[in-house]
Amino acid sequence: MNITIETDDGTAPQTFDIQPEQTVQVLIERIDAAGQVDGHSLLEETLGVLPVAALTTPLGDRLQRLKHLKTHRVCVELHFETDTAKRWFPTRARWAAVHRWGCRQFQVAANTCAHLELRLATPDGPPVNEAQPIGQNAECVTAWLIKPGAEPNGR
Amino acid sequence: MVADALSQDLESEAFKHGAGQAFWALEERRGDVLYIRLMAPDGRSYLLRLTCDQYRTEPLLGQFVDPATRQPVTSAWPQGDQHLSGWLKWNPGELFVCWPGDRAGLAHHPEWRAQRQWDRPPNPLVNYLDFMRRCLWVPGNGYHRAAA
Repeated sequence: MNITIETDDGTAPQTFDIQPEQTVQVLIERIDAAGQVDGHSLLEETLGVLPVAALTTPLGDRLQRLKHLKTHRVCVELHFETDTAKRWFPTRARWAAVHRWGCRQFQVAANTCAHLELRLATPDGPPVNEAQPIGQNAECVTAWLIKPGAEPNGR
Repeated sequence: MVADALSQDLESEAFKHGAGQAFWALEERRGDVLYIRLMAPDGRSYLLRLTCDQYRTEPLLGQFVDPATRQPVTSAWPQGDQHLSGWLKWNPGELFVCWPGDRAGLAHHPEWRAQRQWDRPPNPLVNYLDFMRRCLWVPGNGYHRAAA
């Protein structure tokens, strides 16, 4: 079955041939490889939240709902320490998706990832609420994945 | 003059940014006392009472209070693992914020006073709220999120 992904900014639609018995993760990886938009976020726009356990399940009947996907997208340039990467996300994707991708992209261990936060523009820029949508932006949005300074406490 | 400084900081870009991001919302101001609602990533929210007398000179005093009675009770406090409990003391009879930017924290740890944690940018109010934001929103800080 073919899945077509179309964006509203003039880029050519992408088509993927995928079967119901293939997993959600396989589809995500193929969409990611095309570089058009973050696959996990795109599928969540249609299928709802996809926890880790759902990624290894076959697409099955869900494939029917994914036949033609149309999305608005926004570019995010993410910095982590000395590394930088760019990626497109659906404008309705939450900032948590950027955090998730960043940790994967920069090979951050899960326990370290849990101590990081996103800031806009600069490492000490304003914090981003990861439950909020990224939203539209004509320019590529710059964000930093940082580890907040340690806070003393009374332990 | 003290009230003016607090008013200025309530109008600061940093305070407005946090409100715009839905990290916090000012519910009420009564003189030097602010009631600020802090939003958590699991959809819950907590009402923080901030006593701001001697603003910019002394640290703020924060306590989570029951929204109806406005009294500090255990059930009004965000709770979590041992990491979070290092900062937030939610045991009955011992309800205080154990952090160098809080007045009660300094009462328990006078050695922290020299850090002048409350006197850091962008301003004492946002500095305090940003600490609470990190407690709630950075998963590694141990806040127990309610199941979705």
